[in-house]
Amino acid sequence: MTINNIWVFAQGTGGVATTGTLELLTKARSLSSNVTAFVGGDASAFAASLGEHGATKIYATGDLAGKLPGVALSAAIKTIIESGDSPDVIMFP
Amino acid sequence: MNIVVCVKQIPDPASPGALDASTHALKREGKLILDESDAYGVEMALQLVATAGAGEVNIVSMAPNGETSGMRTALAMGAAKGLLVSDPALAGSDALTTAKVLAAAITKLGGADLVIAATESSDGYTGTVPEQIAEVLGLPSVTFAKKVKIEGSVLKVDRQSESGYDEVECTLPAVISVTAGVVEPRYPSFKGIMDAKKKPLDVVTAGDLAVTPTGWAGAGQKIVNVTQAEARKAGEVIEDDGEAFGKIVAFLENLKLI
Repeated sequence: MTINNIWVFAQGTGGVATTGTLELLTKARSLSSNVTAFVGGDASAFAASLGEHGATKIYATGDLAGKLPGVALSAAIKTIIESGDSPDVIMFP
Repeated sequence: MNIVVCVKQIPDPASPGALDASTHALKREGKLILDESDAYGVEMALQLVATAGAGEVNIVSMAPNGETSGMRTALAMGAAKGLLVSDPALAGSDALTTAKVLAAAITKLGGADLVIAATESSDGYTGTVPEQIAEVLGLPSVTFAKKVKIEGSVLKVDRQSESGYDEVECTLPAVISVTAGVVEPRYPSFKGIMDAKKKPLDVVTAGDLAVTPTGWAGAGQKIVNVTQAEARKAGEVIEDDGEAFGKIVAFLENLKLI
């Protein structure tokens, strides 16, 4: 099976992408040129960094008002899958 | 406050593990011991119940051959009773099937105010079972708990993160996974060991819990190959002849560290 579409669970803290996120993106781009980052929270401060490390598309939930990202992000991923897009692999740090 | 702790019984890490040649799965014959990472959850549960002043700690496990040695250790620490799911049909089960089995076992025990598991086992390392149990049971889940407190019906957790920790709250009932070091597990006393032999420990099958499909047939993944880890290369010894510092500088430059 060829891996064409990789989704990466991306996280940031203090306006900076976490090291684990950047490592995952780097690995993902070595496997596919089609890498989508899913951010739980506001990604505006570090979107450029995600792109530099391999993300070709970024989805962000927006500010979660202090809530953990898991539920919101999972719901967002589910919605996108139901809309027709489908990953070959989803990577979590 | 009734707490159920999911405990895994694993081959003794002090002995060399062996893999089945055809399935590549870890052989689990003979005596199994309580996974050290689960001892933290048992201790955490005992302390929370003691603080609450009422309730009990129960344990659930899934293991082959009716093995209960590791569960007896948890009972000796102070858990009240256990429920083991043991069934040849479960051989080869993946993490999700394991979560469904453990969730059904928790339900069979009457549920709990809090379910505790380790962040990951010391032999399988999938690290996904606690969250899957929460999803199956429809409960909130907080992972990587390094400090746990209960105030009324609210669970307060310091959750380990990459850069520090989050202070998280959620309502009970809930499922948490605890990190090693969350508390210092007690050693079972002699009295505890003796008492544990008389504590209730029921054994059921996957069929008893109506969990299906199980085993290799129900697994969404399989181990296609196992490769020996590359042996670490011997380090280079530099004898100091008065010029060793130059070799160290060159070594660090080669690694682009300076």
